[in-house]
Amino acid sequence: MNIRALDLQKIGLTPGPLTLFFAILGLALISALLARDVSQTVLGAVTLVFLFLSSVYGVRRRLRVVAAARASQAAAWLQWHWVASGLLFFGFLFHTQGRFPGSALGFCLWLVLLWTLISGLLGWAIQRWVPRVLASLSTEVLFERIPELVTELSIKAQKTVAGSHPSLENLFHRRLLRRFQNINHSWVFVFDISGGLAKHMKGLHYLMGFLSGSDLERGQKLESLLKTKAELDAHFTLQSLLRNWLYWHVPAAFLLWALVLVHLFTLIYY
Amino acid sequence: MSENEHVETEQPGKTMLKRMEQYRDRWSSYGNQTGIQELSEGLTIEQLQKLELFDGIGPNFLEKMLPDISLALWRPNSVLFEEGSYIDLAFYVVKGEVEVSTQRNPVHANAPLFDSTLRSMDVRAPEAGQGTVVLKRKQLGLEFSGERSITFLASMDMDLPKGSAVRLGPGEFFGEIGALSGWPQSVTAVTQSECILIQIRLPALRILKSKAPSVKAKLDERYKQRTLTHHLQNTPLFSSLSDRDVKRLIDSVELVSCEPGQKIVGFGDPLEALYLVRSGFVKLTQPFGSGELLVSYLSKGMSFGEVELLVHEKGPWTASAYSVEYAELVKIPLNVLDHLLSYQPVLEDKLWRTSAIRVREAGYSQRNVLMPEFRQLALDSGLVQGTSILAIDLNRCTRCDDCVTACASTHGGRPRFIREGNKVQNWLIPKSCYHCLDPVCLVGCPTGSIHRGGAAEVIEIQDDLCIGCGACARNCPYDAIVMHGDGEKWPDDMIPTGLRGKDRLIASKCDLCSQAGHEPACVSQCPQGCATRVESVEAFQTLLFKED
Ligand code: SF4
Ligand code: SF4
Ligand code: SF4
Repeated sequence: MNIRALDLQKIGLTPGPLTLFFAILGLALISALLARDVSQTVLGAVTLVFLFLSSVYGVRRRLRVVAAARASQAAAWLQWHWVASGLLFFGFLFHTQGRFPGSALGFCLWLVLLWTLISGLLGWAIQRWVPRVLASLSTEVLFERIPELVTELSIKAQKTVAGSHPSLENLFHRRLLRRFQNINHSWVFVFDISGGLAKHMKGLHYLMGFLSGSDLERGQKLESLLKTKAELDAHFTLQSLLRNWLYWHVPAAFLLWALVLVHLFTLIYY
Repeated sequence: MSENEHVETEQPGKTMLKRMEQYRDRWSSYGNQTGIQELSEGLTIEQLQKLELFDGIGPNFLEKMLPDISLALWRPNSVLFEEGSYIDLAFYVVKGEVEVSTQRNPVHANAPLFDSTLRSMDVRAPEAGQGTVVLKRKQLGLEFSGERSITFLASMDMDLPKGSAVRLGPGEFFGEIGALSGWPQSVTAVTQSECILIQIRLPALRILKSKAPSVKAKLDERYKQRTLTHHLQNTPLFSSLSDRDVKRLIDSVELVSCEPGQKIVGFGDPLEALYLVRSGFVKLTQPFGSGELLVSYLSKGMSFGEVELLVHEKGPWTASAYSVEYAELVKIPLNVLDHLLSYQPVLEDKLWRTSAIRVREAGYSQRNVLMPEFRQLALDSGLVQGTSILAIDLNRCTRCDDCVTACASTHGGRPRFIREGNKVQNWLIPKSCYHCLDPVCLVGCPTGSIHRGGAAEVIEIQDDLCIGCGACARNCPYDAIVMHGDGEKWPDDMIPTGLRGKDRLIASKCDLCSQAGHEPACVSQCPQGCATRVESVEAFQTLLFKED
């Protein structure tokens, strides 16, 4: 089957790999039922192949020059990563005949495998959801740029209020300056993309009702700067999430490989 | 100076030799077999004033033009340019003879001035669209395998039948139409004897046209004689006219050259003509609230005025028209058009069809405010020029930067773009080279380091020819070129001497991965499949508004 034929332009599995997935799964199931004594070694070997296939994507990603020079589609490899990981899970089930492993090593293998798969699924969900939320914001920023933009914004805000009506200056220094100076890395953004902006703006809105002329203009400018700042905070929090879930997934995958190698070693040695 | 008079050239000095060396590279992007024997380092105002061509241009403007004018002595049988190649200069014959033909002749003693492997060009049949020529890199070889003849609207310097040739002698001027319109040449020019040519680059050509009415008149007359017949016959609107009608049309049309931002017609003004765009872009706006709404932009081969003529029965202009950059138009007076319409029902039919498109566009723009906003952005940010625009769907982009890293990996660790740029709805347009139809970055590079790989090919930079002057980066209006150090210093014998011992800078930009020899890595290495390259602003527009 031609890997490049797997089209991942649309998110979600396309019929090709799905069919393959279910075909292999079906075959494994039937053979396990028909021949109860299907060699554990064969099933183990098949599972190992799935583990290998599911790891190819990550390895390829790290060997960037090779990957880019070959110019094969990274999207298709990612699709294989998902398919192979699903097969790995079922392979493991058959290999252990659905029983909970008794040995400490087996137990660790189970645990780490589950951890890797669940973190992967979580990552998949994050990758589907977070980009859509971020795209709905009016700004798009590079993660690395956020601190420098926050500093810029803070300076702009301070300049905006300097010399304005004392109550505006007072409100700014007491309540808002802190918001401008620090990046607000908060889980709030996961549930509310505005980060509760309306609540923070309440005081400013109230005050703006009493301002006029240039003070009102300054208040409006401050309002727009606050909105931008909230978007930068949202970007920071959610882009961190997009990056950091991998720390839950990749080390676990390495650990899984280590445990599998120990398992193989014990099999061969004993 | 009379045109036949020999132009004295001084013995070249060391600096001049070095410059000539650079110019050689410039003139023949590849190799040293160029036909240039000698190239002047720079002419003086007095020298230019002696030439009839520059009659009527004041010393101030001549001074501005000087850096872009040179005098070259060419060997016989040298190819100045070939069919399908891009040039940013025009030639004025001082001495000798040049043959201009429509037959491509690959066997020549000297290498072509600009390389022009025609392997990547696709010409949309005039009837298929609005009469514009569309270049698609990927389909090129396909379209040109075989004996297909090529017609580029507005790029014809000569209206020659296929396979024929004419000889141009002293006093003749050629190449200017291709240079001014930024389109490939449709003829091949070869020196027949030792030739002295004045070579005028685009910036000087523009000054020449705008500041010397006599030159403009001459150029326009020449364009009418040489090209307009072909242009009109290949414009969908007039393709059905007989030769006699076309001739009558040519006798009565006016050629209009516009400066960037120039108002061509105003909303409410009386209608007096229909306009046809020869080159450049024109935007149509309508009053909306207290401002103006951009309802449409027109490119080469498109016309405006048909709505007022037909729908509003010669009512006043329903839109204002502005040139976006330098634009060349053909103005067709109403009475001539009336006469044609009286016995050409096909023409009326076509005008009705274009009117329907304009009315629909205007209506759509008023209903969907995002459309005019996008059009304005497309004009401001140069997207209208793009033939390969990188776009990222932010709804799917996980901000992993694999696209940037892939670009860096295939370009010596230095990425040719970053994920920053304009955001249009859920699409990000990073500042990666758009591979413009009219690549102004090519103008002014003293060594020819930045060039087109071939006709309709990508614009790339040859590192070893780049002297780091930054002209291309300054010229690119879209910030798509970055100057960076490469850790080296200029040698002690470098000319210009000012560079000696200084850090060497190099210009870099997206080359569509052509030098690496694979498809764009930024697209293929995006794991989410959300980075894509679109071939025109229209294609991008379809992507944006496909839901409607
Ligand atoms: S470098 Fe700039 S001007 Fe040149 S082709 Fe690219 S975008 Fe256009
Ligand atoms: S096409 Fe190639 S050079 Fe251009 S931005 Fe993409 S990866 Fe970089
Ligand atoms: S590789 Fe794709 S998903 Fe990653 S940042 Fe680039 S466009 Fe976005």
